[in-house]
Amino acid sequence: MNFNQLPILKIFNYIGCALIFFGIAFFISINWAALNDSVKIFSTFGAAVTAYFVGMLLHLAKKEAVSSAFFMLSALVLPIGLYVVLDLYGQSADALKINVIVSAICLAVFLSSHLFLPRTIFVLFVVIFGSFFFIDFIDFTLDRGNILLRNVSEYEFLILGVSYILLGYYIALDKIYPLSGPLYFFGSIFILSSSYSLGGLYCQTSGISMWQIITALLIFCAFMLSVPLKSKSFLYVGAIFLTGYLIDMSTRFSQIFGHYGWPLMLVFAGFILMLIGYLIYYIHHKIN
Amino acid sequence: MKKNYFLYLAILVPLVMMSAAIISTLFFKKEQHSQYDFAYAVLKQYTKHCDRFLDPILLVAQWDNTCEASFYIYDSKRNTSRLVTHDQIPAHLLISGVSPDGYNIEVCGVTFPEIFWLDDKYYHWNRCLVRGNFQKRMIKLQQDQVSSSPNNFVFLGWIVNASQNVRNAP
Repeated sequence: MNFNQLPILKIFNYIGCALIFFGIAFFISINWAALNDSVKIFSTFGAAVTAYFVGMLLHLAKKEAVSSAFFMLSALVLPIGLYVVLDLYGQSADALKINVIVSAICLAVFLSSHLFLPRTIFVLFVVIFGSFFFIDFIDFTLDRGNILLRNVSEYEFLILGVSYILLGYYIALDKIYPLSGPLYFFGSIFILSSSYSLGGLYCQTSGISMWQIITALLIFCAFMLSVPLKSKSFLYVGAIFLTGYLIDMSTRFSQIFGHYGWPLMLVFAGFILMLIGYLIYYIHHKIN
Repeated sequence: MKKNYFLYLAILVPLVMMSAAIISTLFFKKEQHSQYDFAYAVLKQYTKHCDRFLDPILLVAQWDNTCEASFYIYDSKRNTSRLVTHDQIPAHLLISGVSPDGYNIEVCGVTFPEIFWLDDKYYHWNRCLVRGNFQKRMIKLQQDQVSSSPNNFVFLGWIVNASQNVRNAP
């Protein structure tokens, strides 16, 4: 086994990266008032730029495992550094505009890095910063208009979820980057939680009734897709939402059967959990 | 080549929503304003004690001067706020909730990712005029008004019938 591919090496690198990140964060947060502007910038933005170049040098020296840790450190600190720079020197204090600028710069940095040096870590951060840019851009744009759109964040996450699943499928076909699992996982969570929220949380009393039906269909689709996509994420996320959905629906028992409703609901929930357990077991076998 | 369609779709789907947001902002701009002015107060520091006096009846009869608050009348046609004293507010003409022409005042705050050492100048608890799917930002609370709390803004009520008289008051 190549020294660079040792799992223990990766784990230690990422733990080291996390410790450096928290060290910088705590140093700055504790001493923020005492630090002058240049120290604030060098300790955040400067640290991000340095980590990026160290990562690049290590990558060129074929030390890929440790270079990933430095790229990750850079990606964690870069947004903070940019917020600090814009906080100190930005003329405008428009929060939404600053969010768009920060996420766009981070996206541009990691997208261009990926185009020159295709690596999984860059794809990961392109997806993360791309998602932030998408949300920030829409919030910024809608804030400039005077049309009130309700539930915008639910639709944003719904679209993100669809995009993640499409990207995950593309990556699964391509088989270069091992990111299809996380993309399916977050994609299914985003889609189901958004539709669940649009349908109305808490006993489905306040939402849009069409979305209550769509949520049930989407949960069914999550189970159906888990087999052809060979994704356990779809299966488990679908099972969690199915349990929640049915328990939510079963609270209607208390409205119909009065004080007998709650014991009936418990019995119903028990049977449902057993059925879902068997369903997961059956589909799990099909995936494997 | 066929698999690339999924990549293009993954990029295209968010782009469509972003384009829809741009189109809705650029092409569906409309200007509306209520016929009625309204009164509001901005508390320097929110306390339950002071909030209790911001009732139209108690405001005039028993206002506690130890409560630090600024009172304003918002001119709906000119989109401006005018500083007044508490006794200049026509408490007997105020109605709470929705205006007679169907407008409401809602919080439309802008929040900033909470980075724990940045100060709170990015936290705004703006107030918007809302009717149906129309929303217009009207009042942006300033930093010196301790804008980090949504409770510092207290809507007192819409001024019905005598808006001209109040607008022209000294």
